Amino acid sequence: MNEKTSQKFPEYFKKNSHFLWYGLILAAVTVVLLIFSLAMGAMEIRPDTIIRILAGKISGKSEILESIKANQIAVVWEIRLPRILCGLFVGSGLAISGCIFQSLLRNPLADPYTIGVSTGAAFGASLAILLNITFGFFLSSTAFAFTFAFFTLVLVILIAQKGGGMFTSNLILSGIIISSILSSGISFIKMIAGENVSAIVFWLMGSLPSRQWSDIRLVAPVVLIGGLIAWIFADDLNIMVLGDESAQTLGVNTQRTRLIYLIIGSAITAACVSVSGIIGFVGLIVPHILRFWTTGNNRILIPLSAVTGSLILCLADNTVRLISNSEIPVGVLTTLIGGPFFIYIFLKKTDKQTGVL
Amino acid sequence: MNETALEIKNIHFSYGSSPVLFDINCAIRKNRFVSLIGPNGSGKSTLLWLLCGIRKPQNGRILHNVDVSKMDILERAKRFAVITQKESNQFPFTCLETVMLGLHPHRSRFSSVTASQMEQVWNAMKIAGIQQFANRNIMHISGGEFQRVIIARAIVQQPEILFMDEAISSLDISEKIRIHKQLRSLMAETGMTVVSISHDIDTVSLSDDVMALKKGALAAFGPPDTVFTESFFENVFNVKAEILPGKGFFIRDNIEYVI
Repeated sequence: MNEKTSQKFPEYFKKNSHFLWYGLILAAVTVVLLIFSLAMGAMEIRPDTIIRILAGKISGKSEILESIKANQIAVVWEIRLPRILCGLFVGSGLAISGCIFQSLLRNPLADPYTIGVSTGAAFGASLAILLNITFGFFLSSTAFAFTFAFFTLVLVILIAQKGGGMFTSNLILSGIIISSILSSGISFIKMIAGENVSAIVFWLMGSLPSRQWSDIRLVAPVVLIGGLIAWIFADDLNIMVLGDESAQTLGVNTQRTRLIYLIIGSAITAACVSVSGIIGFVGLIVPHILRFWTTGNNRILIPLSAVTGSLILCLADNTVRLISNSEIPVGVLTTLIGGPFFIYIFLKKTDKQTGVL
Repeated sequence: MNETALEIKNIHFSYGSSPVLFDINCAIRKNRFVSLIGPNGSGKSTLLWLLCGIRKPQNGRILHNVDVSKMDILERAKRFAVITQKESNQFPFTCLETVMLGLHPHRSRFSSVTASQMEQVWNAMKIAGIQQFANRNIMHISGGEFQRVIIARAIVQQPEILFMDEAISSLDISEKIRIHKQLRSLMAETGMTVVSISHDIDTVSLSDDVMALKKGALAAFGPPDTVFTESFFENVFNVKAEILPGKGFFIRDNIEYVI
């Protein structure tokens, strides 16, 4: 960009470079928070030890780890790091997915759970837990959750297609229908689980303890690859916000773009819900507030939401670890804090004339 | 300058079992300002969506060298731009960001905006008279201002044909005339063709050709001074008009004011 042109729109270029800095600062804060979070817990481990453990494990140089106690390495690498990384990826994934669904459904109040994929995941996980308890199977609730989330998406798309086309209203409507049926299914599973219902209820509340590297291996590639594809097609997503007819006049293949984003958004949501249960409000609030505080441009909003989402979920998870020994599920905290915060934003920002947030 | 921009051949279109357009045949010449007029429900908007290739006729063909409904969507967006009155946006984009969306058909997904493209955006905003509020949120501007943002976005597309569905009807009279003049000079500069739906009979008179629809059929096509006759107004709009030779016309009908 030559100087003369950037002088014509100085504010635009200044604003965009500010957003880049915000993103970088937030990413740096997240890295510091990661180290701090690894140091937190019943076993006291100093931050410099943590950095050495990470350096040794990542580089594969065992001599760095020689002077460190084996149980410290196990706690950091096998217990705390998977949980914290899981929180970072889930927070990031939910925020990216929220960003996608808000633009795709042309509704700034949509979230990753709007079209019912999460209810599908919850049904799958509940079913796996029930079968494990009742018949002594060793089914993976994560795998079941992911599979059922995928089938839910296919069903929602098919119903929307049969109902006149894959348009916003049809998708939301078929999402609500499938969601309601699956919710009843979950209630039924809870009922027949009897005394063992607590395992299902706890899963549904959304939490991060006892995450393993296998969970990271599921959620990380889906969030990273999905986020990257979402970012590459961000211009198309910006145009989708204008509605189908206008988007087509600007050269966007709306059917294809909608399908790509539905698959990406749902895959990210499914992966997040599969490993952590249903964590509320992160996927709604983060992109919603960032959109109105920074920009509606998804090219900037997607990476910014990703970093902010991971930071917020990591903070929330640290808070639940700090305030209770019995561990409140982080999903409960995000909803408890996120809900009232959203009411505050709603009252503060609602345009009195148009009612638009 | 008598080449054809769009050739319309035996167009039929219906929504379900309700027919909307019947047997439309005509040719729109390049570099002409064509006004599409007719009473409400006569099929103007449907015809416009067919002409720009967004909808497909059940019968007949629309040719812009090739069949427009078979053109690649991106290729079509490089040649045709459409301004509708219905568009709205609930998301906080700035006016500049919205105008820049017009660059989409001409940009690769992986390249950043070039200096000459920014120059183009600047010129389009100047034509639409919106460069002073480039950084304002589109949710905080008036309907008329938003319409000018959409006009600028369509100009950025550098279309061969610009389609407008009552695009300038929400503008005040001075802005309407200014935009009209700007479009005329853009047409002279680039050879662009304009097809515009309008109910403003005064701005319609400024166009090169008038295409009138009545109940889904083509009622008249030609320059305004040949189309606008007293019988035309009576037949198409069911109003009485008086033609003043060399000066124009005015609508004279019995109007009762009820207070």
